[in-house]
Amino acid sequence: MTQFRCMMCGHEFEDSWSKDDDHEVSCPNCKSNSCRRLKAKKAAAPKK
Amino acid sequence: MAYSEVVNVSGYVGNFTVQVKKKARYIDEKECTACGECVAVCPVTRPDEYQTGFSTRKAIHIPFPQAIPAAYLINMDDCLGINPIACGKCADVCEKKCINFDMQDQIVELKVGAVVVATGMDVYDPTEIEEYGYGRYPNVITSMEFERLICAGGPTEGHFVRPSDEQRPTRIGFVQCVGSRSSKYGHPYCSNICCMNTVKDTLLLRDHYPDTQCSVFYMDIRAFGKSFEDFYMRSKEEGVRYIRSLPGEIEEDPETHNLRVVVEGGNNGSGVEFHEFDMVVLSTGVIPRGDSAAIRKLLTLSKTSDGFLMEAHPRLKPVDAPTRGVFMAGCAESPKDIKDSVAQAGAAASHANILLNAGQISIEAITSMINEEICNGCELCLRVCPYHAIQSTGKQSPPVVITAACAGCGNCGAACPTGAITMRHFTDTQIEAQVDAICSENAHEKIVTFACNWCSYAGGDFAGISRLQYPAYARLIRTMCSARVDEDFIWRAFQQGVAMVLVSGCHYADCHYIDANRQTVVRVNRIWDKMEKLGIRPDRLQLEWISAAEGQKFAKVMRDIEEIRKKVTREEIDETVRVLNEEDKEKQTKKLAKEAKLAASGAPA
Repeated sequence: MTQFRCMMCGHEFEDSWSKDDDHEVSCPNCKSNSCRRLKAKKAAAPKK
Repeated sequence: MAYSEVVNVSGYVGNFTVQVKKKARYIDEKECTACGECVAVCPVTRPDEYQTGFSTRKAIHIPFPQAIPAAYLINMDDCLGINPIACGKCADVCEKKCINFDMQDQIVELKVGAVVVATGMDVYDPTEIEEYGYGRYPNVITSMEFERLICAGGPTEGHFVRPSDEQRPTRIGFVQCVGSRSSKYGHPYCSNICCMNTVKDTLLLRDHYPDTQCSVFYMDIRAFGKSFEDFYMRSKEEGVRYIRSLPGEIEEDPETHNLRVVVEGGNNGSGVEFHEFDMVVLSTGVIPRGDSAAIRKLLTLSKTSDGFLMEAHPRLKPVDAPTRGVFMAGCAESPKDIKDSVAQAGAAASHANILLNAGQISIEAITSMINEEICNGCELCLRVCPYHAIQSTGKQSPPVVITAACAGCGNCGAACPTGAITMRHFTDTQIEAQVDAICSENAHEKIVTFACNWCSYAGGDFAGISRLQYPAYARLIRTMCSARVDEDFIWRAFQQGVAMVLVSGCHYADCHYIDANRQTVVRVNRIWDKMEKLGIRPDRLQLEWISAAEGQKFAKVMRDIEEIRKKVTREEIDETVRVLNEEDKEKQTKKLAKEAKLAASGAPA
């Protein structure tokens, strides 16, 4: 599952997404297609 | 070519090269007389796929009685005889000595001008609908299994019996729309053929066994073809009961294996009813073939939301694929009956003939062209072209556009990092001039809207002719595809003080350029990320898929964007312009420094 943020209403949601997935993403709140894919935050590097 | 498989297709309209794998039959088909001596001695027995598992076949077999050529083949996954010491009985009894275990698959290369895709369909497997008990109750069968049981060439030679006790059933229930028109199980579309298939089956039963009682559970009977309504009426006159309700459950008596169908609101219109049957036939829907993704990849085709192949235009080019020179027929395109399949096949063959006989094709003047002097040979355009219309000429040298294959989406032009590719009639200069013109006056009030020619622009037009009200700040720039929208066009608009930018295109399943609009998503996401990095509100850039019929959506999107536009302050816009100008300056400085460094080292620029 990938985290998305709607650029129209600001709603954040999860949806399935992959590079090969032919799947139109729309906001479950306002139905807008302006859904920005949020990049997964990288885990902090372990302290030496 | 029978018993063969297409493994690769390259080239373009008029010049396709097709590689076909001719699978080894392990039998010389020219010599084989189909005498059947080999079958009699073959010790391996497997369920017969053609008879839907109701009978068995041998490892050496003819796939189905009407197969051409009428010669046997050996399924090597089943056969023991690859080592003649292990078996090899078929080879021993074959008088004509046509069995050859050393036969190998062959790759045959064909040069063709056009391709017709007629790969058919698969049938929905109702096992997932647990309420109906298919797979658990032996007397619950599918319409395809019914077809085999009643067929004179079937496993019972046309004597209709039920699987549990091989007795003739006298009470038979048919359940319609299994896997069709359902959001819960199977697919939401209508499979087109099931209603008339069931009507035909009931008449067939009444004809063979007049004492059979048939009941059909349905939600609608769709008898819209020529004489189909008469056929349906005939079935009713023959005494077939049509009950307008779909069963909620099918129960089995474990002793007799009789079935009880539970329906709500059937004959009486309300309440729960129970109907007893000896056998229940599930009228299963039609689904796209399991290997349709591989076919789409081979021929650069696209699919509609139901998974069937997409035509170039649903009304004006119903047999043409989006890739020039490729045509389609039958259920590969959508579920259809024999008559429609034959009509479409005729049309596809005619279109292919017209193309081949003409010897030349006319193409739209909107194709891409490469400026060889600017191109750095990165070949990014090759990777993004949905039609494979750009061919490599070797590393670091400019690729070549196959104009006959180019459909003019402009995806390559937007992707080109050096600006070496441009589209005829949709050049960078022309689009930039439109952006400049929009931003020349009161830019802070404007919504620059890039709309694709086929869907969004038409959607805007539809909103207009429907007299739908929406704010008047939108200014439309038409591109052939949303994938033509270069990131630079969007930055240029923001740099000139525009408040909002909208990029709109076809819905995923409607993209007129196979899957070009997926690149639009990639680019818009990239810009959102950069906007955030530069401290510009990302919601000032919007992306919407609007079809030609969605005038209402177009107006709504415009109203919603206007609400965001109202919140964008002049200070915010001025800050955006300043940030982007500064970034431009930085880029220029870096570029000059790089050029100076190259000049100092004596390397060519």
